[in-house]
Amino acid sequence: MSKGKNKGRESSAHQKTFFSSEIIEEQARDDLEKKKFRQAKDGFKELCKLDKEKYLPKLLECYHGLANQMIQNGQLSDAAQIIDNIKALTGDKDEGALDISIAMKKKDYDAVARIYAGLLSRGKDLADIQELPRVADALVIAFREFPRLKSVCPEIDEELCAVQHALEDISAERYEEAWLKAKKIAVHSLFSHWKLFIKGLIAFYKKEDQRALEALGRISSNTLLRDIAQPYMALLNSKTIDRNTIHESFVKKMCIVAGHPDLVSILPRADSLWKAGRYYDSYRHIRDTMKAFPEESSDIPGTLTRFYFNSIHHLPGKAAMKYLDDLLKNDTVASPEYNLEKVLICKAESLFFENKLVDDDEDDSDCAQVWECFLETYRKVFGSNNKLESLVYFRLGSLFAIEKPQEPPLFPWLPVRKNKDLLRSAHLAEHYFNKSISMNKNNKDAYLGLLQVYEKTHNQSKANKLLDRLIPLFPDDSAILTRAGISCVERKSYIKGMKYLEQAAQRDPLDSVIKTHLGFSYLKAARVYFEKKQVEQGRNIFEKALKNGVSDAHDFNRGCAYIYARWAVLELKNENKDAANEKLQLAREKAEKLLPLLYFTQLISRCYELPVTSLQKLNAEVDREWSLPPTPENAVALLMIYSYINTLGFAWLKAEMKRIVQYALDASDKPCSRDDALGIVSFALSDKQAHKLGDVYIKKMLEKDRDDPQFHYLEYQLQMTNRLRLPGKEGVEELNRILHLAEKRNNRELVRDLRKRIKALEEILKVEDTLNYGGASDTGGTNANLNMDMEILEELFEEMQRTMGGRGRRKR
Amino acid sequence: MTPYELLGIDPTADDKTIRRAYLELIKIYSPDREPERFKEIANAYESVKDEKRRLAFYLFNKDIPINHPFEALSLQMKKTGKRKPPDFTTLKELLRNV
Repeated sequence: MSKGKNKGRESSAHQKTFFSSEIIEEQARDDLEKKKFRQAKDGFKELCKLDKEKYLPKLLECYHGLANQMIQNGQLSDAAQIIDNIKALTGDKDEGALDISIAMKKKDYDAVARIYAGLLSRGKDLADIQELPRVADALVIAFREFPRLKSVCPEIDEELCAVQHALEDISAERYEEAWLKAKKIAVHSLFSHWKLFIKGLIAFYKKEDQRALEALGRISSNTLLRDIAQPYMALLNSKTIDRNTIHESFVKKMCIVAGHPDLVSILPRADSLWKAGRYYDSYRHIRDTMKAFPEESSDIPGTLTRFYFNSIHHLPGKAAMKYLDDLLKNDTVASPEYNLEKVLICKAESLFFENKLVDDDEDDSDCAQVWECFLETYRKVFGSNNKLESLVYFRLGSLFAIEKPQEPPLFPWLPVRKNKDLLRSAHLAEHYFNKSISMNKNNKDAYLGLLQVYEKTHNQSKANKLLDRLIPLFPDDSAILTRAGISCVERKSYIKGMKYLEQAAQRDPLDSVIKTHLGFSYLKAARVYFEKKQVEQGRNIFEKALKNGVSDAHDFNRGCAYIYARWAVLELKNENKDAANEKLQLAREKAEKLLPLLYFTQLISRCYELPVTSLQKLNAEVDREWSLPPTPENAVALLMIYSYINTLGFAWLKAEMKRIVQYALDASDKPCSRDDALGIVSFALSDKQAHKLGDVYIKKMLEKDRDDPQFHYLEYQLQMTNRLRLPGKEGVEELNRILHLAEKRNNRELVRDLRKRIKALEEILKVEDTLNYGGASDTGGTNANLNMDMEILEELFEEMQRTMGGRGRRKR
Repeated sequence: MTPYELLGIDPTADDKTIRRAYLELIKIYSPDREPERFKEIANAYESVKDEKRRLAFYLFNKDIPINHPFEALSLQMKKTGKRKPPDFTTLKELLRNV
């Protein structure tokens, strides 16, 4: 206690002597009620001088309150002094509840147990003891006998012995005996939570995890046992424990509970360093203290090896980079010796660079170099492994063969040319796929990768040569046969292609991609036969096409109704009217809606160059169906047919476009599903003639649901295609508003698309702002400003080139 | 757990041993009774069923078996299924170090 404080208190007590005893008593009682024990104590001390017998109980109450307050605040020596005062006043020299509280605070559980047992033995009132369950815990963990307790409180002594003996039984794996003993503990006993603990422990060692978690989880938080149970719970399910409470001593206990006392000096420190974000220090600690680390096994060193080397790919960017840098500065890497650690570091580095290559546009050669370095290290440690090397080179080939992402165009009014430089690096992809093949002649994936590179770079002759090499090498492989089939179809060798695809479908009958290509090849081959007047062969092919067909109303290659329609047209072209009528009838039976089928047949007839005279009946039928009240469902089907036929590029289709758009506009006042509206608006966006149609359907859908982000976005896109200048800040605001709506609806795809577009727009607005700034400074223009403007202009030009499909690559 | 640990096999096991282990496991964890476990086992088998996949797993797998070093203890306990209580003196010591 400080001198100053004493002075203050003396003067305050002195002041009180000037007041009457009634006033002092009133003030002291008020202080006591408000738990201002120190002030109350001073008052009652004064009053005791007047009438000790009357005021002593109140003075003692003040001392008790003050002592408890001090214990709570950790002022243990001051509290002990107060307790001495109480003992002097009462003349009772025995230790009591307050001594227990002090010992508890000091975590001196032996003392707690001793004092508590003494109190029980003397039959003292225990009502004053705070944290009674914790005191009972201290009695158990003291693990000693209290001889007087047996005679004075036999029931408590019996339960205490039951708990201790049950724990001893658990240690000896006598679980049944342990439970028989624990069962004797009553529900309202001082030791009832020990019963739960014993139950949990038995379940833990009997591998009844759920039961163990349930029992241990029920232990009250005002007991010492709660803390003891936590390592067991963390071992069963680490999510049950707050990560912040897991510190070194906690992990030490886990090591003991898990039966790994050898890890007590290793794992806790490593865990705490990891938790503090000192990843490399944590790694170093494990490496220096654990003999078997690193190791590729399934025990603890193996688990830690995978954890420390793979964590690089899961840490946030900067932390991962620093961790990897520290690993690379490691003395193992610098030493001329080669070992497993070096192999693992090189592998981690290669995989890390690979991610950077994809995400951050890193240099291509860096990535290839680190993988080559890994292979060299691996060879020196484990000897050469051609299959492994082939896989690494295949991986590199695949990385360089990734298609560059196409960002949404910044200048929607400019026509977008198809980007020829589609792959990340076609020549490196070809180089590494070839290297992969040279290491393992049977690496089919490498051949397929190489084939894809040739196809994507339109190197058809190399692709065909490779396919010719591949078919004898893998005669039963469905993937190779499919590729060969597709390649033949593209070269217009439909019949040869069809045969390859048939073989592929036989080997992989569930692959829908093969079936789609096969369906397409059937249609092409059948037409070839019919045009050569080999009608029977053509019919056979159509039969096969029908077997491969589906009932889908929107599959124009495999839909049975559409196959019959094509067949009918080709029969008609060969002047087999009866056969044509029969097939058309079959087509009608298979079709879900008549108008789309008839319209499809009409367009296909024109594509197959049927004489106008033979189309009169069909045309009349289409006109009749067309004159019926239009529906949005039919409109979508007609637009899809138009889009499908339009890929063939016939000039006469333009007139059809107007006709369908008008049909869709006439149907706009009819009920329309969201999907149908989406189909119509998406089509409208692709053609300027149909913009009005898009507008009408967007309005219609927004009337239904005014916060539909998809239609708001389509509306924005439609507006952008209609204007001839870049959207300004208001564009960003509008996109952000739509983004907010999309996030609310959890429309992930739309959110992703919107974010990309906002980012691109913000970038170009930044350039625009800088250009405006540069213009203002022209009055006092310097060379530096001029250079900056030139750079910006170059950047803008590069951006425009990219949008137009130019070859300029933007460096981040 | 790695596919090897899930299938209860050594990483050096050959195709036949791996397939045998897989078939044994799916007899116990059938898709009707334990669909989640079956899926895990099937995925594990798919990723190591032949030499090429095993090499690819060795080279390119980036999964972390645990999120913090201390979790190595619980993972090991799950993998081995070994749980032995400490002797009474150690248990007493553990309880007293609250």
